[in-house]
Amino acid sequence: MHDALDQLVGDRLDGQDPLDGGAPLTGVLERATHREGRRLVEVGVAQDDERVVAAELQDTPAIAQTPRDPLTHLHAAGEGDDLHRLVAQGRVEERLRVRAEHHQGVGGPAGGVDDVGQAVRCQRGALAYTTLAGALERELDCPVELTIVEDYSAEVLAMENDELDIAQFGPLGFVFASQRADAQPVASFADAGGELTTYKAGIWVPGDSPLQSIQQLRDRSLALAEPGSTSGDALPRLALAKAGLDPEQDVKLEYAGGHPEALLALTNGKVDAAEINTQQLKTSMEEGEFDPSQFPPDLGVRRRPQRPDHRPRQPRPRVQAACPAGADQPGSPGGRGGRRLPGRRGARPAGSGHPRDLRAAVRPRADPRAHRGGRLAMGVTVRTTSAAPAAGGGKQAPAGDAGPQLSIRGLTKAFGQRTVLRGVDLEVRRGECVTVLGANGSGKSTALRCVVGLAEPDEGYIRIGGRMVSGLRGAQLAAARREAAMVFQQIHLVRRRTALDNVCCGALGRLRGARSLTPLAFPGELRDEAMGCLDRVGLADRASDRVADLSGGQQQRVAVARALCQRASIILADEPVAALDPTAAEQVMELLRRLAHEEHLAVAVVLHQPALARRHSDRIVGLLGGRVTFNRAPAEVDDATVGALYTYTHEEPRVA
Amino acid sequence: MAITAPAPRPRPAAPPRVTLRSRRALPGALALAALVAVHVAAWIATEFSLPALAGGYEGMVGFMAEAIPPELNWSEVVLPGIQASLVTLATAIMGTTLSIPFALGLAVLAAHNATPKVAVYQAARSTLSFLRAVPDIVFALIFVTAVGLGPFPGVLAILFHNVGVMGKLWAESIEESDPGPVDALRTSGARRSQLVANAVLPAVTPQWVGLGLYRFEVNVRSSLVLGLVGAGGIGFLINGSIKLFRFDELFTYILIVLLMVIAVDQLSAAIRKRIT
Ligand SMILES: Nc1ncnc2c1ncn2[C@@H]1O[C@H](COP(=O)(O)OP(=O)(O)O)[C@@H](O)[C@H]1O
Ligand SMILES: [Mg+2]
Repeated sequence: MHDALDQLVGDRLDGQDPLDGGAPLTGVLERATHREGRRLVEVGVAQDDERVVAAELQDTPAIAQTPRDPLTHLHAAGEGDDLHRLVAQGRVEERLRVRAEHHQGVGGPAGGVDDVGQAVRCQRGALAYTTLAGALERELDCPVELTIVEDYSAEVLAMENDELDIAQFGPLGFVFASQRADAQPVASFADAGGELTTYKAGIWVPGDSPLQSIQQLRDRSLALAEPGSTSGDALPRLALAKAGLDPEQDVKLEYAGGHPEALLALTNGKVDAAEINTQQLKTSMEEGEFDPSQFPPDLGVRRRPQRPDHRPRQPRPRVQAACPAGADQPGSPGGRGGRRLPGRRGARPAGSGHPRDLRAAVRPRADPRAHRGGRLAMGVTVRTTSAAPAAGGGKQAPAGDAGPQLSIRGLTKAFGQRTVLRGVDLEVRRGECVTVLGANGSGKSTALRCVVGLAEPDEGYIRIGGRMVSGLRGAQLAAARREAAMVFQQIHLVRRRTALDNVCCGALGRLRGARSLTPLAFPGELRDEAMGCLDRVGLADRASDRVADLSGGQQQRVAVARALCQRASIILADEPVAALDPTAAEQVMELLRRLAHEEHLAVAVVLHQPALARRHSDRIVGLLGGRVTFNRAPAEVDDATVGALYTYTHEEPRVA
Repeated sequence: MAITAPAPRPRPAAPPRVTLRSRRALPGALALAALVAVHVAAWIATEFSLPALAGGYEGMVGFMAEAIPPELNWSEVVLPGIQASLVTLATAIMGTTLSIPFALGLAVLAAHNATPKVAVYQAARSTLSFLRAVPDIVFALIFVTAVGLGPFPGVLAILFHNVGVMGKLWAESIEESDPGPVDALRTSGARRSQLVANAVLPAVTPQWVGLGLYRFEVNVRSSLVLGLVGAGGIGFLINGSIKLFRFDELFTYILIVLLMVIAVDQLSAAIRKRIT
């Protein structure tokens, strides 16, 4: 690819020494061009670029205000009014389109837009373009549309296809524009004195570098700007070639992306040498980014002081190849709304009669309780039922099992304006399996969530193992909470992990440190214990299966095993069988009952199937609108009592 | 009184549908009008013109004519192109892989349901926003000044930018993940780090892998751009062929990129299929 470039530039510069002293390239390379229609316009000033396009540009205040950069003065070229002539001859399109490369600024040492932190310079470059466009507009008395682009290739292509009339090019861009689009030079930029501006390419090395000539760059690294840049690529390569080095083979060329980047690469010691043209030099010195005293004298700049730890202090001839260049520029929660209305479900299936009949049946029983202190006092009922936990015939509570393992009193909870729990009392003893029935929205889940700490109660208290949860802090609170484990309707296992890994996670509360962060590191004893838990739920043989591969009923049993692995004494199951088929539901309920009766745990299960509740529980609690409406042994709960829970379409029952 | 039965209510006659619909329709119409206005403005701002496109087809034909047939010189174009595209690929691999630990940490801190504190959440979010806002090309320039030229600054640039983008995508997938397993473990007394490691991360892993692979594909393309600022790779060759108007070489490079992108797509599709 670069052969073509070397060839191209070599042809152009044939006979000239690219290193210092050569004739300025400006005359050939730095031009603005103009095209009209499909054909290129011969404006007649191609050979004489010392002439003026727009003489008054020199006096434009905007330009005068940028004294730091004489290059922004547009040098006069041409007979004075060639462009006027074009307009007069009607050969210029109505709207003149001017494009300028941002990289290769008109004369401002403008950085491209990709130069970090050089916004000021960009603006200055753009100012030059704006001034140019304004001057053309005035001179030609026709609208000029100015576009600033980053790279010459697009300009050349647009010009080639008659989509662009006038463009500003750096030297190399102009070479291509003239080749491909027959672009002709119209004007060049000059300094305040009217002198055509030019600058030189240069190759720099640090002051303490052993390199003293271009030839010594063999096998060294040299930072260039970017491919196609005149002073940042073509001229340094030409200099290498003239010094007998093959730029591709003999030197490690590194394209830094732009002039400032190449300079930075050198000042940061990342390369042995770098191209720095005189404009980049000037800009960097002004910006304080470059201290030439650190580098060998070049172009009249003083030598840098030597670093003490380096070689002896000695004036060093610089490796400096300066070549004149043209114009290539430097620097360049809450979705519960979908729930069924309370009361819709259950009322019909359960009822043999009309809803109204059911209600009539409930009222006399519910009322006396409801009127007692506004709340159902569960203690009375509990005593009667818990006196006979033998329904399942399991182990009895050990002696000294004083009170209920879980005791909730006066639990009140509101979400915003909506009061969900209105003084709920509930007690569950070890060895007892209690089921809770209630319509959707009656507050069952909220009550359970308050126990395990997923919700904060507003009022009331919760005792776990006889200890008031509200009075506990820190480790003690954590220990009390660990006594209660929750099993969810949605199961909430990590589906991609194995059953065993999931069960192990129940023990996280008592596990510390890095070993608790991945199943791979879980201690062996824990795995053994988890295996035992899986065995208790009858799934030891599925331990290494991914949860996702298990059936719903099996998954729920794994969730129960996780609760066991937590070593909880209380298991709260929130609709654990709602998503299961009847057989699986039966299995899970049997398991829960067995855990209560045989393993002596306190189990509370929220259910929607009264039949299951009757079969598997020692006691049934009815919840309606955040209040407990009944709490008794299954035998004492008739269809009407249950049906009343599901009768109303209002979340809040109309209780006087 | 105690409990009253709701009287069978008469069906409400002719519900006030019209007002209801218009009340909802008004904001909708306003939004639509605003959307149209924005697009008209954008149309004007971008000088969008189909006639210009149609009228200028000759230019495009000319461009294509120069590009076809592609330059297939093995030693000068194809081989260097393949070698450079491997550099590009390597840059993307390094940048993406090395960004994973940082993206992971920031994603957890920047997900409101996993972060320990609001202040930490805000800080993590801001960090991610900053890393996203700085284009990778700017990171590349910054790192060129630190580590010199070549693909290494490109790797660092992709790393930093990718932490910003992937961290945000990952944080969002945490926020969208099912809170259930986290709640379940929380009730067992697990602490935050344990929750993240044992409930959050396993749940989001499939999405994270998918997002990570997608980012890798994007990063392959980004490292093409980074070639333009000295980070090497095939982007550098593409840029050079544009500057020298060697469209036949350009076409070859694009074909190589095409093959590379297709290969990466296929690979990540295969991985994605296996993971989920
Ligand atoms: N986090 C919450 N924010 C607001 N409202 C809630 C929240 N949790 C539950 N609720 C409301 O509390 C009421 C009782 O909910 P819940 O306890 O889930 O009922 P159940 O489990 O008996 O169906 C419902 O009306 C529900 O919308
Ligand atoms: Mg519920």
